[in-house]
Amino acid sequence: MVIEHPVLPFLQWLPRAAGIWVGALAVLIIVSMLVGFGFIILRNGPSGVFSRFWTGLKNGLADMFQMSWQRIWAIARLIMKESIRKKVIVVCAVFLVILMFAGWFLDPESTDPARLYLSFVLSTTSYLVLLLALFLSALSLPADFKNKTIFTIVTKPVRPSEIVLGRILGLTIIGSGILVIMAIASYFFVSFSLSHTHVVIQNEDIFPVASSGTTSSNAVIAAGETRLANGHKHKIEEYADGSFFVQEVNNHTHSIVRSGDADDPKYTVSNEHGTIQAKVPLYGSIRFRNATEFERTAGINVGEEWDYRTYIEGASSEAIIWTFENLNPKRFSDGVPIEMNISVYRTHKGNIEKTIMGALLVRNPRTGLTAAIENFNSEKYTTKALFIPRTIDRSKVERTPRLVKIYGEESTYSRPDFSYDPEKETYDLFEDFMDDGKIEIWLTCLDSGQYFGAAEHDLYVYARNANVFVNFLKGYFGIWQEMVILISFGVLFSTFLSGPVAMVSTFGVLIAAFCKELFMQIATGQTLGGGLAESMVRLVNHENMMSDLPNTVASSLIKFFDMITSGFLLYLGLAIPSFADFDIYSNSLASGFDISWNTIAVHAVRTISYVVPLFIVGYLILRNREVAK
Amino acid sequence: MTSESKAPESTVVVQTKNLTKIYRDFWGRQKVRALKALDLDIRKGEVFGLLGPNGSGKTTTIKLLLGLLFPTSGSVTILGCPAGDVTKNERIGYLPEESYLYRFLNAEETLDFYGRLFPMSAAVRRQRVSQLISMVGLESARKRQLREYSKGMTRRIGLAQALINDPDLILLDEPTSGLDPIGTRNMKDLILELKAQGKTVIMSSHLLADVQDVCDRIGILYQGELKELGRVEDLLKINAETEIRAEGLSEEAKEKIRKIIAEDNSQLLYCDHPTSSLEDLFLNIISESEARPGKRVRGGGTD
Repeated sequence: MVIEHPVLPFLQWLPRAAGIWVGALAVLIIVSMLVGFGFIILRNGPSGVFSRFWTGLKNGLADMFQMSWQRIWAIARLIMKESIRKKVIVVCAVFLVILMFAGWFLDPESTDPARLYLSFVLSTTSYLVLLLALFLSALSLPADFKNKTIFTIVTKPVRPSEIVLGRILGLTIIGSGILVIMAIASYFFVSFSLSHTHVVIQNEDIFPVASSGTTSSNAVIAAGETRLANGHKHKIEEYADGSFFVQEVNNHTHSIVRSGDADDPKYTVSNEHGTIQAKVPLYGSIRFRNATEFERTAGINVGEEWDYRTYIEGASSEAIIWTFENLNPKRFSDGVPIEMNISVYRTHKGNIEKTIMGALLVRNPRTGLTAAIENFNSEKYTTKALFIPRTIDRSKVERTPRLVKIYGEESTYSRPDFSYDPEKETYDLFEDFMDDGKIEIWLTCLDSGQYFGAAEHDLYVYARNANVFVNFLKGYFGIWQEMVILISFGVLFSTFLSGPVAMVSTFGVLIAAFCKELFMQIATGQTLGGGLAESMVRLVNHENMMSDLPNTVASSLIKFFDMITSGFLLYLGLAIPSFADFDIYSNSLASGFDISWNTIAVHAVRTISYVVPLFIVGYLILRNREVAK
Repeated sequence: MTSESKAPESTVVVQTKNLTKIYRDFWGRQKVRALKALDLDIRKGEVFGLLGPNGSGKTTTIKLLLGLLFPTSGSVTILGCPAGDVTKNERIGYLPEESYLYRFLNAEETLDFYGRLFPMSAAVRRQRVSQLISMVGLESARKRQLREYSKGMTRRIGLAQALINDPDLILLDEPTSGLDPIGTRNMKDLILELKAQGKTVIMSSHLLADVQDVCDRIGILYQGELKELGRVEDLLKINAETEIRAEGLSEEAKEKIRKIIAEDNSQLLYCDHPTSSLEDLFLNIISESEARPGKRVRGGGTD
């Protein structure tokens, strides 16, 4: 799974993020105070400005800190009732209808059906829920203004802050309810759609194997293939002890039970398992060793536009090194299962059928003791599973240490503390290769002229499986967070804009949030073809993006305009969340990874950090708005 | 200005000083001067009527009192608080011009919702809800959504929501509009009942008969200016005239009376200032205001 923006550990992330947030909030408060100050002068003239300001400040603090949960809840209840009476539940019905028809178009025979189905339900849910959140949040308060029902609210002892917060709360609860319904419907849809079994009949699909004379329990007594179902078959083998081997196809296997007489056995194939997974990965930190054995933070750039992965050259001293610090010998008492997605870059085709060979090694980070665990065939776009056994045979251990030199520190690394013991028969993974809790896993490419590429999260230790249903719900939490942020924006806009305008503005935020990266590139002038006005001119004139505009007064004006707007866009962009960050939820779910609680904690705090200032701004606007105008 | 005697501060429930509201357009240009320098004292326990033709500033005044609008200049003190203070609303009930209520709620839910906005216990709230529903006579419709209500019913539930907190000060904007004669009668009785309970009522209306029947004092607004302020009976007195009523007088007697009056030496059966109807007064003020804009017509009533 590609993770371009890894989530830091919560406690490591929090102090810095909290610092930035508090700073931004302080700026917000200072700006709103200045605006308030200007407002007072504009409205009442300079006399008595300080006493008015003080009164306003006192009221503001009261509105923030003397909110009544009873009133907030009353408003939230009202909003929920409104949504329910206006039949938002129809959205769920629409969703169910979409699921019904989706069954016609989604192909369970594809090679990764789980990803296909999960991506589909996730994106459909997210579109529907976000659109619903957009409509509800942007139209609710303006409707109150239009119908003047707001008159009967603000003439009760209700604070503007309670109106804004009650709305955000009520809409969030309604949206959450709908999201939960959709999540559960999706789960059953995906499970049932992918659920299948195969038929296996004696002497038609599975045939007895002539006895080789051995009587060991793992001798194969029958072999064959299952019948076709969902577009695939599994190779199967029956062992003497009654157990079965079932080949893994499309990320799943089945279990088989044999019953009936010895002469006329019946084979019962279970439903598939493993289609939807929740693998818990443990990640290490990556670094590279270059051809002269020096440590680098990145490998070779082979000229790919996407610089997520960097490369090492085959048949050289280059290596990709992952350092794992969190391997618990108790948990991995038999050994460490590894999975990886390695990218291959070929400088010459050679035999295109033949895969590029690689080697997996473990190394003690202090002594440099290295063991070559396994050579493997790289397959692009597939996840390669390897296993590092706990006990490593002497034959695999290298006699000389492998070095990783650091510039300026050559002397300390030239002679690692290492002695090869020729008497030692076997080596223990944790005793001999782990030092200070750290263990290094090396990847090298064996074919000369070919390259392996990887990023930090391309190799991980497959620690365990988490609960699939819980993980499914966690995946929907990403959509929930987007929804809450969108609701907050919608409510904010609806405090001062009419319904349709608030809706369009919220929609704008939604688009910008989905394309925040592009937005920021435009704001910082990194895109080709200039800023807003310049690219518009190029568009109209059918000009290319590369050549400079002619040196005229008009183009200087255009560039000046772009300079002003890009500054404005930059500040706007900083306030906009990046929904691409929430992709980690749908990606993890679709790729079969467990979503860590750490990710959830970080994103939950981030969501709150958006809701709070949006709420404050919404409150300030509503408070200073003439309700009856 | 009116020559009102100063009331003790404690009994003044609403006080406006130089209250002015100018509506501006987007560019800040003056559109309408909705209210000009209004000075008003409304005392505890009285029923005060704001009278004026459409667009005279009655509703603007009420909205300014409630803080729904911000004054362009001047100030409002209501129950001892500035208009922008939300805590004052705990003791205020407001019936808007039209009943702006949530049409997807039923009567019970409506009152329950508004009740929740006040610091009162659930038991008290439930009790007030059923009490008010029976007071406004909507028992049979308590479970029906307001979207199905007739205008009169909506008006009544609107009144019930204004009274949910047992307010000390009640502002009624056009309370009788849309009501049939019986409904109007009930509304007036209710206002008088509220008065009897010692509550202060401020109502606006352009229906003169309503105001005449229930109000202790009235203020007549025209084009944003207060044209008249005083006790209803005082305002309707015509000081320059005398009314004589007698029974069974012959033509000679009438002639005599005229003589007697001329000599000012006789016993009158009835002699008092005649009262015009409020309608006459109202139309008179309006027409004089139009003839001489900006000038106050009379010196104002006295208490």
